[in-house]
Amino acid sequence: MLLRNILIIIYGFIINFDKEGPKLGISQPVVAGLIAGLIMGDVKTGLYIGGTLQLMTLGITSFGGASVPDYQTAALIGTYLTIATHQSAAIGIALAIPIALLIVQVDVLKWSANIFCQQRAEKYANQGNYRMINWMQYLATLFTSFVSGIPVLLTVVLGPKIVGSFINYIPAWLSGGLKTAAGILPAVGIGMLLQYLPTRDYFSYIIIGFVLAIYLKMPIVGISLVGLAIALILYKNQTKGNNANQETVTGGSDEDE
Amino acid sequence: MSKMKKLYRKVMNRWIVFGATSLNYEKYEGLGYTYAMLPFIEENYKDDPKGKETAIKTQLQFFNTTPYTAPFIMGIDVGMEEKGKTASLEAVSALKTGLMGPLAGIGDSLFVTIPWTIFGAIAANMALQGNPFGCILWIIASILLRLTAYPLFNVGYRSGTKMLSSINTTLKALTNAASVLGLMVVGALAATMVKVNLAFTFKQGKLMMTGNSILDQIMPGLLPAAVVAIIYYLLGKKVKPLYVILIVLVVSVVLNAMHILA
Repeated sequence: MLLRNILIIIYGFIINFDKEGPKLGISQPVVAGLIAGLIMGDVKTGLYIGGTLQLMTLGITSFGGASVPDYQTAALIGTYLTIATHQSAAIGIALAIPIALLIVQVDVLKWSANIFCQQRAEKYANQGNYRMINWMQYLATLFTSFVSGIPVLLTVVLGPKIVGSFINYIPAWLSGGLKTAAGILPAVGIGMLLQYLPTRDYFSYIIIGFVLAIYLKMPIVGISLVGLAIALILYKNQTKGNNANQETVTGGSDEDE
Repeated sequence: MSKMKKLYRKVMNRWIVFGATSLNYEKYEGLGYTYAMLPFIEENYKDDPKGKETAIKTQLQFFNTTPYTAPFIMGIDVGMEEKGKTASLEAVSALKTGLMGPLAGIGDSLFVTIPWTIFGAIAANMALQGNPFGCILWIIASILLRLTAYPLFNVGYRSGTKMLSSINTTLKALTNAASVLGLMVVGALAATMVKVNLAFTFKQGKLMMTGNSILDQIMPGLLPAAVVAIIYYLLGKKVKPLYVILIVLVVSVVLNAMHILA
């Protein structure tokens, strides 16, 4: 159990670093659920919690510092608590939602703390001490990894016992309501996506996807492939005119748009 | 030349690993950009300590764009500074500011929103069925997306600002096409992944129907679609996502307690 706890804590510190840095996919909620599940020895529960939380966030990340619930760290904590306290996955999801909302507040602290690093770096630049600029970047990286690392550390150290006894006090109306909410919350992720995508211009394709899924019961991979085919056709049509343009312009002056 | 190539790779490696980890409210990615460029600056202004200082101070300014598209800007930047040294710095600064906006717009949808939606949806779907393969697929896709940094840097370096308008049109066409794919997946997700279950059942003699099966006869997926539409409307009215989530939580608990939703 000790080894598992240590691995969970290490992974906790990696999550937010990967989210802002390498982005290798290991900081996505569903992957966080999988890895936490692997560490804790119950992959299925991890996948279920991570998958559910993934649907709540979808392609939305914190663009330019907007606050979006931290479902990544929440997936890790939810999975850990669920398996450590032998609860059902539904409880884990219900716990993860408020945790995701809380960690966004921690993220604000990081954005503020990193101002210190930025200003120190500027000071070192004035002094000609360029090596220290590197260290300011590393210090800021450390602050960034604290955003997910500290909550996970606290959860592992204090969590299972407290949460285990706390879960028993959750009234039925609350856990029932949270279960209902877990079904509806993916709609928020979808709604946010629709705000980012050119929904008005391409509304028809939403209908196509909807119909393929609900009437033809096509699995998501199949729908993606149909979408890919349409996308390729559109791309070809849209660049056809430009290619002709480009050939005449190559090596020449600016191309007009 | 080969020594320089190694240098470029070092700059890119630094950006890929530590790019946005020093995000801050004051200068956003300013420190991260400088950190990535430092090896190049050290080499480029080797014999000009005053120039080095000016270059570093220039790079420490405000910078904010999608980490995926920043390499293109860095490529142009390196190309310009190599030729123009300190004389180019003013132009570099203007260029960074001018490009980060448009490239963030394209980059956020092309490199983040759309691929994350598609691969996230696939991974989540498989995960709910207990299958980890979708996650592995996504990790592979993420790594490939990240590796675009090197070619994007090279395109920026080679073409400078000249190619900008044509690469912009290509990227826009690509973004449009990818958006279509994204929207189809979103439509499918709205239909299958949003679960709104009515709690009441309708009984008449032997006939018993649940609320959902009655609605399904009108149109399957009607309730999920309606919920998505309402949330889309709220977000369009500039209600913060955090508040929308809280609204969903409160409404769910209330409707569940009233035995309207299960």
